[in-house]
Amino acid sequence: MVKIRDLKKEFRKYGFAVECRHLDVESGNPLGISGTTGSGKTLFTKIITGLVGSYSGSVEIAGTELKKLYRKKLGYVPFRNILYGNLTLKENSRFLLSHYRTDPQEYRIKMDWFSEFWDIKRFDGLKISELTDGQLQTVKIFAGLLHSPSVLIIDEPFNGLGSGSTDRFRELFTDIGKRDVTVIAASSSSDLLSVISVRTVQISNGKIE
Amino acid sequence: MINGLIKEFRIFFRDRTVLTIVVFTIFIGITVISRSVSVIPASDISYAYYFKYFRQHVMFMIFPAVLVNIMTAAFSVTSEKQSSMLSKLLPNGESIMVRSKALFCMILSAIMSFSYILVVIFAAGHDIFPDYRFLIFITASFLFLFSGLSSFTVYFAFSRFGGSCNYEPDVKTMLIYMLAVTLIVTAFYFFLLVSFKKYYDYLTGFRIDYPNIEFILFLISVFIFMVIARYLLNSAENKLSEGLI
Repeated sequence: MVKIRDLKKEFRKYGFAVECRHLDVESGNPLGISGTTGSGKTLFTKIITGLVGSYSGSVEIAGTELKKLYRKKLGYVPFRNILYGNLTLKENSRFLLSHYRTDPQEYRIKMDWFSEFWDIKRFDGLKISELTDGQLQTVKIFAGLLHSPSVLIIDEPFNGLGSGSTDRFRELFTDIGKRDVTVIAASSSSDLLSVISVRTVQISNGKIE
Repeated sequence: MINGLIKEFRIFFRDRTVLTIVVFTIFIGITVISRSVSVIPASDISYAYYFKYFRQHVMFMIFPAVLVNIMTAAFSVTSEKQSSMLSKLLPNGESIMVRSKALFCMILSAIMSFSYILVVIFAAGHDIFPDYRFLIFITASFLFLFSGLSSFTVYFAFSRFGGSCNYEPDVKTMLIYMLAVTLIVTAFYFFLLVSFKKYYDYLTGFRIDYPNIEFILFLISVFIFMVIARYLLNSAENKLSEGLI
């Protein structure tokens, strides 16, 4: 579960602020955040993942205040790729799992499970830099779920995948919802977002309404 | 940490430019040794001559270490351009990233430099080293130098390459870095040469008293170096985690 109360982060240099007075997201009920380009979606996701600090108010993730949160509880899929381009999917995954102090065998288990939604087994030995945009997006989502987080935050989930992926997203979100994972997805495609999420909120000029 | 080191080696050696430079450095090293061995006269060998050979040729071993540091700054840290956010999402990510990079840089510097000494021993014989104590002394000295240099490289790279230039340093930044490395290495080169000479003289019997003062100075400098290295790594870690939880 994610609880946000009176959240405010000001970027004085740019005359911009991200605000959210009250927001609760429960597992099994994926939340969509839609807004136009520059409305503050990415900034909001970065704030609630702890990538941007010094905010006022409170963000509670799985019962723990964000500032005291053990990062293992969070899974974040950013818009741009953050995996190592020169390493293969397997090598990247092994590296991530070692950081989370998780059994390396978890990679195979997670791979088998995730392949029910997107077949990424064939990318196993490929370098991340060799993947197409769509393949990369599925791999990024896989990497975000690799360590079994309590909360999954995805920025622009349809990036490279398009409208044909909505059914798979819905199946994936239903499955991880049963595993008590809370999902927040931010996208500028409000139509697609409303298909894959139970609830959608709008962000405009940094304010979540 | 081991997985971090494995990642560093993979990232580093999968870059063709880096691989070419490493092979070229090894080639230069072998050429220097093979050419220099022939300048040692077969007769009338004195310890003074051996130290001259040591100073003029064996100290060339610093060069691969400097090169490894420059390549780490130019290629390895730059490869973090995309993935710097990853370190902020992983538990202790900043710490592991900074320390594994510094450790990797130190290990590779040691491998490339000490293999050079081994080749010298193999090609020129171990007579140029009075005994194994001298070998241990220079090995320890260089290990301290490499650890300090690696810490400085990682600190400089994460402090100066991040932010607006997003881990893609411009020519000016790289020149400043290379100038700083040159100054550090040159200063240590002369400092170490003095220490080595005193110890060499003692081991070969040209000096009767044990070089106590030099050793105390050396230990103090090592201690200061280690403290600075630790401070630099902590600063790099803080720089990497700025604005985070």
